Amino acid sequence: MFSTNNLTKTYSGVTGKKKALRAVNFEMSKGEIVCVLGKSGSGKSTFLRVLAGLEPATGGSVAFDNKDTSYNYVSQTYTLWPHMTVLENLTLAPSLNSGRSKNSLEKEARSLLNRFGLKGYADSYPSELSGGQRQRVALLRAVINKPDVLFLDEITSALDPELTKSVLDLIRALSKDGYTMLIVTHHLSFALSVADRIVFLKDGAVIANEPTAKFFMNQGNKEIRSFILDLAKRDENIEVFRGIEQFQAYHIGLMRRLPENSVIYVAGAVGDQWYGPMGDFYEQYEKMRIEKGIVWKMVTYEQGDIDKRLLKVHPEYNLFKKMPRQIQNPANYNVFGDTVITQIFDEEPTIIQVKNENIAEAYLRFFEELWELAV
Amino acid sequence: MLEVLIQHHELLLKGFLNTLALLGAIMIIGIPLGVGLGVLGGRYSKALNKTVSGLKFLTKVVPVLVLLFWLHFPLQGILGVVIDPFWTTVIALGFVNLVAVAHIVQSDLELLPKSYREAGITLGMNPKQVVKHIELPILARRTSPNILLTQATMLEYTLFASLISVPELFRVAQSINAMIYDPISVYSLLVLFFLIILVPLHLVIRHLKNKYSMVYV
Repeated sequence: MFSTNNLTKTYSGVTGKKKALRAVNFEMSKGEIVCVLGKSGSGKSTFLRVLAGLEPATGGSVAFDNKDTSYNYVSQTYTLWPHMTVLENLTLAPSLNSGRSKNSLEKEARSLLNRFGLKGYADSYPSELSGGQRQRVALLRAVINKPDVLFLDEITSALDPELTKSVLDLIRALSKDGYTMLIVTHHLSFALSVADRIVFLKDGAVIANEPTAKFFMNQGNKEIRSFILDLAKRDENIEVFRGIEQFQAYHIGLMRRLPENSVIYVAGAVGDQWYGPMGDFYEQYEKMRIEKGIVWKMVTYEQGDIDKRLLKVHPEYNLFKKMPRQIQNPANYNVFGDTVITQIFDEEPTIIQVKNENIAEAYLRFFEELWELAV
Repeated sequence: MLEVLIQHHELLLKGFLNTLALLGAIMIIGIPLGVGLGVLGGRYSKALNKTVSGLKFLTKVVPVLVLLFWLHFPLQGILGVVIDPFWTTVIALGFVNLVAVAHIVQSDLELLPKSYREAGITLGMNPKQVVKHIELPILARRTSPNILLTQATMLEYTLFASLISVPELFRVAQSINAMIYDPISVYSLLVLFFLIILVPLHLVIRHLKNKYSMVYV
């Protein structure tokens, strides 16, 4: 769809020159959704503004595969025109340039408003809407012309959690409609649920560009891992459990609260890693699991000694398969119910828990694909 | 009061028309030039922007009456010219009006969020369409109450013209009072005149302010 080649942006200020983008090379395919993460001042917004043509690049280039590629940009500040009604905001730009009739545009605008919970607001002015409603209208205004690419810059940063959810739900719905989207966000669970790929910027340079699952669940870069943990702490859908005691307590608690005959889906890189941090609590965990008939359905590259023993003793509760090495499984995660967890077996074992139905569904689908390929 | 009005209606009408002519000329100079200067200073020229701000400061610290007298007496003396007091008033108040209007437009343009323009551009509108459909309508709504308020102030400033012998309404009232010595009737008529003109004007301004006091969202 488009690519950048050594894209550079330098700002000149009182204190000298500041490089906001450093030779960014990036590609995006049609229908792909990519989230851009990074600390504040890392160049995320500049990246989107340069791509959207709102600021000129200092060096390098942006090339669209098709010169007719259309794109729209929605920013973190509400950009609805205050002198126009919602309907006028939605239809002004296309009525001037698309050649479509006013009637057809109004019909489409009303249908979009109805679909996304804004029925009855067509004739309202922006000042009469809540922050979340305004941002949703801004998004709908950006899609009414059916652009090929959407650039969304922290569009939920000024909203409270409830309003944020309504906007994120809209983006999720748009993602199902096949829009190509490049999204700057600081909502980890949102990025997990919609993004195909994550780009991480540091000081204007891309230091990670990986599939979402790999980025979050199997992150090798310590700095990014610490960034993810920081973000996770601020995300209402995410909880972090750190240290041996919390690690053990989490799993014992999980065994207590999971209903009988549940299934825990485990996609792991290598076997036996988990038993070490569980220590003496493993026996208690295992006893409860068997009593409640909770099944481990697990795919790994290798099976450890304990895994092999479990497979012999309770084959009905341990459905294990091995993935051939050539199968790419970037993630290391467990899924149960509406929850996904990833575990970091570091000196200080850590569990990142994401409680979100959409994310759990997506990871379960991914697991089933792996299961089919494993032997 | 009615008797004074009937007896001197011709003089009063003449003074009233002179006041209106003064105000009209001041508005013709101040509004179009002020809007133009404000747009240039607010959007295109930093030097002009600073000049407008400097002139605004000047008109704040130099009283209008002092400016009027300075233009009427010393300046004309220095230049060796004689200008009709009516036109001296038009130049002085026209300048003050121009600077005030330019400053209003310039400030509101600076306050106009850049994101409105960017939203238009990214939605495929060209810069002319953005100016016509977005920036100008918002700017007109934002500035019109304050520009009208400035015109009301200009109407009040026209009273100073009487001090350099422009036969406007106040000067005429003074003359009539000198002839008949009935200050209560004469000056009450003047109060009535300003009430009739300025009360509706202020009500319009208030209405516009309420109507257009939109939050930049």
